Amino acid sequence: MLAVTQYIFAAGETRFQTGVAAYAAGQFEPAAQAFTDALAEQTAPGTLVNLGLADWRCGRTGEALLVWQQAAWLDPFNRAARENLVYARDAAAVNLPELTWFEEASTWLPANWWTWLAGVSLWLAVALVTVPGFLRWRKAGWHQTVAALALGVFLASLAPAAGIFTRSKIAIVTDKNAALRLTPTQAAEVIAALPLGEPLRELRSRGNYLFVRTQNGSGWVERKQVGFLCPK
Amino acid sequence: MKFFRKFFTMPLILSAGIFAGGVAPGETNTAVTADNFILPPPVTVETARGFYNAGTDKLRAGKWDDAETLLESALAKQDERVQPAAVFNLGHVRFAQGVDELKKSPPGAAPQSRAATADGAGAIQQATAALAGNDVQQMVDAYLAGRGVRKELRAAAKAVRRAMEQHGKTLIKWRRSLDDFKSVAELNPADTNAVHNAEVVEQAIAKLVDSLRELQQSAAPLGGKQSQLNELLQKLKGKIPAPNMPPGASGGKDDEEGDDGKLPTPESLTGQEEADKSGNGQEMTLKISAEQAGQLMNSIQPDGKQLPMGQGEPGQPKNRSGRIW
Repeated sequence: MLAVTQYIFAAGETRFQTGVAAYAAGQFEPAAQAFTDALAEQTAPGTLVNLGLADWRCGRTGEALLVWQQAAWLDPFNRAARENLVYARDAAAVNLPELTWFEEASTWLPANWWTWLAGVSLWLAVALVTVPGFLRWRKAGWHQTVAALALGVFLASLAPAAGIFTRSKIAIVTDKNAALRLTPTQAAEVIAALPLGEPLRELRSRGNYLFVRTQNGSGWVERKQVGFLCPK
Repeated sequence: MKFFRKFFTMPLILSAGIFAGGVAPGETNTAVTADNFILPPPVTVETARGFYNAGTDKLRAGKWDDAETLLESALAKQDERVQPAAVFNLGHVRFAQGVDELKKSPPGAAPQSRAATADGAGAIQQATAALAGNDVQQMVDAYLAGRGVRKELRAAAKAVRRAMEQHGKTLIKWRRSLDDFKSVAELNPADTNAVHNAEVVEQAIAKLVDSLRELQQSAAPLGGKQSQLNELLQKLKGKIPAPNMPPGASGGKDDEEGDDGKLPTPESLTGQEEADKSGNGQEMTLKISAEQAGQLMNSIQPDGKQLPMGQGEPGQPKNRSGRIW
């Protein structure tokens, strides 16, 4: 088991290094392919940032914005991803995703941290309330204080955790021919053309179409023309 | 015309499906006779159903633009129960809008264009022969005939252009209508009426495209003939002696570049009348001898200085190779 894991990591690392070398040599297409292969082995914010750079150099604005957004989702402290996003949004003249307050709060920490925080704080609070009784320990004041704090942390982490869930409905336009349609059909009337990298929010779906809300209105878009921040 | 009638009757064929969607969205394709349908109430609540019913009402009343706006509002509400019926009726509205656009097309533009092209070819031949012959009368006749044909060519070009514009507008509407029926078939694959209507609209589009091609083909030689004729008329104008020039021809630019869409004023009609009598004027001019002309010129010159005038045998206009004024 350990050997298999080590092999996978080694293969991912090799592909990552191949991608870095290709990027340094100016071969952006092979670099993008190598980073994509490396991501198939192991998802890492650094690889996503590099893939975004290769995509950007290849002129794939939508894909670049998507992977940088994914990198920022995985690691909000990744400065390169944040700076690239600011630069690319400005260059491509696309809007920022509209976030609610609890979604905004969810960006302060990496997505899985909130789940851990909620889980750990809840069980800590439960443990501090119940375990001393089971073990016939004398109830101390600090037990109550820590349990109260843990419960507070748990309650506070619920909103960002909900934000993580709702942010997973945000997608980025990756197809240059993407259009907002009035009905979920191939021959539908087009309401507006969607620029590459434009953020949209899935509200519901029907077949191969998603009913989305953008900053310019709502409509249907083909599923294959967008990429989700949190791939399903 | 036959084609036009065929298109005009199309909404009647298609309208069978209109009444179906009127009251109960989702049951669009049930054939209902005109006696049975219930008029939808006016929009009191701005719901998808309210907009849909109001739009269908406008569709029945033949108010296409209002119907389109209301049905689109119904669609924008994104109510899945109303959507297929609203798109179905939008297909009808857009087809009817296309028919209305087609009605505005001038009838018989293609035959008119072909006739004008044939006349243009005749006028060009006549003008070429007149230029080669150097006979003033022939040149004047060719010039007058050419001017008439040039007007005909302009009128034909205008009619074809207008017909093509209207055909283009119709094509846009009908393509949208086709897409609407296709969308309904995609939303509800069991809807056979939508599939049938899509086929009918497809056939109508195919005929419209054929008609558009015919117009394009008939219009293609018009421009060439017009410019060729203009060139020849210009040459004729250069060769016809000024006194022989029919009235209205000396205007220059207006005469050459046309009077598209302008009705002749009473003054210009008078000028045309005079042009018809141009033969008399020509004879009068030819009767003036060189001596008489010399005397006339002397009387005009304030200082009495005599201008050099040809005193020999009077040259006939047809023998003159260059411009005489």
